[in-house]
Amino acid sequence: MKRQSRPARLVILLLCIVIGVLVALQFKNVSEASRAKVADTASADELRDFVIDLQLANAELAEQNNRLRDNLRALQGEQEGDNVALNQVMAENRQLEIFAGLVAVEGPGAHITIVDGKNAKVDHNHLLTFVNFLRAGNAQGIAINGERLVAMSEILTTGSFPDQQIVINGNIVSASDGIYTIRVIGDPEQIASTYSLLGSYVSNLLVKGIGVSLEKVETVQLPALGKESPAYRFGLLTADD
Amino acid sequence: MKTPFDLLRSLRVPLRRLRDGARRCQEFFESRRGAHVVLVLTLAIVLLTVFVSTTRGLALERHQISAAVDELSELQSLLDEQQAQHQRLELEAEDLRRQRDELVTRLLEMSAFAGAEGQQELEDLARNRRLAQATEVRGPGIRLVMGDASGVEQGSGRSEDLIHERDIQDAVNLLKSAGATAIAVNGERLISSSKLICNGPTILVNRNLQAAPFVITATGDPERLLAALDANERLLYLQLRGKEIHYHVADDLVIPAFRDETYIRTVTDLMVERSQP
Repeated sequence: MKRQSRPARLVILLLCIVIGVLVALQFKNVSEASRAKVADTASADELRDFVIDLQLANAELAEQNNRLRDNLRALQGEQEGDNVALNQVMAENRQLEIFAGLVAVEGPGAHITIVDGKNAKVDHNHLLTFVNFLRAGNAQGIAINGERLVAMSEILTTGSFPDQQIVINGNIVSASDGIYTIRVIGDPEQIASTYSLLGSYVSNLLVKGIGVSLEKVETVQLPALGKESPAYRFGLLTADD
Repeated sequence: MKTPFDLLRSLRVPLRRLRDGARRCQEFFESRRGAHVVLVLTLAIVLLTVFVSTTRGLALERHQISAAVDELSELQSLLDEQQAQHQRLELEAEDLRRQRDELVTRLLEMSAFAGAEGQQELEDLARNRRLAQATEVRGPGIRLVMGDASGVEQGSGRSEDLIHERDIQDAVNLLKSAGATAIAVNGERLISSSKLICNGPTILVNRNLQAAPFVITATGDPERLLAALDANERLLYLQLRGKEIHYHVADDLVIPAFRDETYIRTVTDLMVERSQP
């Protein structure tokens, strides 16, 4: 083989160096491009939502503080016979009693009826799913078969199929007819649309033979939390601040 | 005077040189070393084209990214500002509430103002606030941590590797049935209308988005709570699936109060007390 001339070898050498540099630069480009993908615009949207939520919360908080200042001013100016302090405490008590489920209440809403099937029984998971969804749909108050659901209410399945029973607030709520009625107070339209979001879940239950139906109700009545229930008793065990 | 013939003649020499050069070039390129140069040259040109086009694309992208980064930093400073304001307002609210409660108590304890009725309402207030989860609770209990399977990166996690609302809901329900007196998820006190909503990798607790790992704190009888967690098959199942599940007894838990009075007002506005149950 004839040896290559000096200039030709030099040209090849130079070109090889150029190629090497280009390959290196290209690698850098590619890795930079993949890193850039991480800086997604989705995070900006999330952050923006976060800021908006916080602005809203701050506006509410500022309003609440103004109300507190008004209350304080009224209290400071209290004269004998005004009952300012008494009226304030009574107003807070009535509201808290409704909020905490300590009194029987009524309001617009819906009844959701769930019925045991021949080969499938309703269990606590079904009820928890409905309850969680209803709360997501801004349900204000919920009761299942006479038991009001409060912050510390549990929903349990005891025993095993087919003799299982559901316990809420320490009481068995399963009836011999296998019917569970979820009574819910809230905006009926919102409850209905929340219920329709559960469509595939509901049809799964229907396939298993568990019946589910929703009925909007003008006046839903909810009982108070029983004073003997664990949710009530344990709630009072807490040490105050 | 030059004739066209002279012109042609004068061009003969350079033309011959050109022809010779072309022949030499042809020989060169047909030779082995020529082929090398052609090959390498082609490669260089191709690479150069690719490099130029990606660099140009990248420059465009870099411009977009810097715009996005500017927006992000602007949002971040806005967020910092709002968070600082939030803290200020919370502190203010706490101070105002304390002043109001002190004044109310003092006024109602002066029997001239309210008498026995005032005393009764004060007692009810203490009970109602506790049952509405509106008081801070301290004491022994359990601390349960639930995290996504290890190695899961945000956005790339497969659904079966993540902790879902159902998992938290189940654990919370379990703790309630074991006599928990108060529960918080990532420091967010659970109340009667608390819901858990899956939102991608985060879960909405009450009104706030929380991300994994989820820390569930519950006050109550530690032995009973521990026994309930030990006996739970679902937690074991999650653990076997590689998710981060661990819990231990904590002696001095602090479960924050739920004090959002505006929220309490809006979440009860459709309900009226029934005169007789």
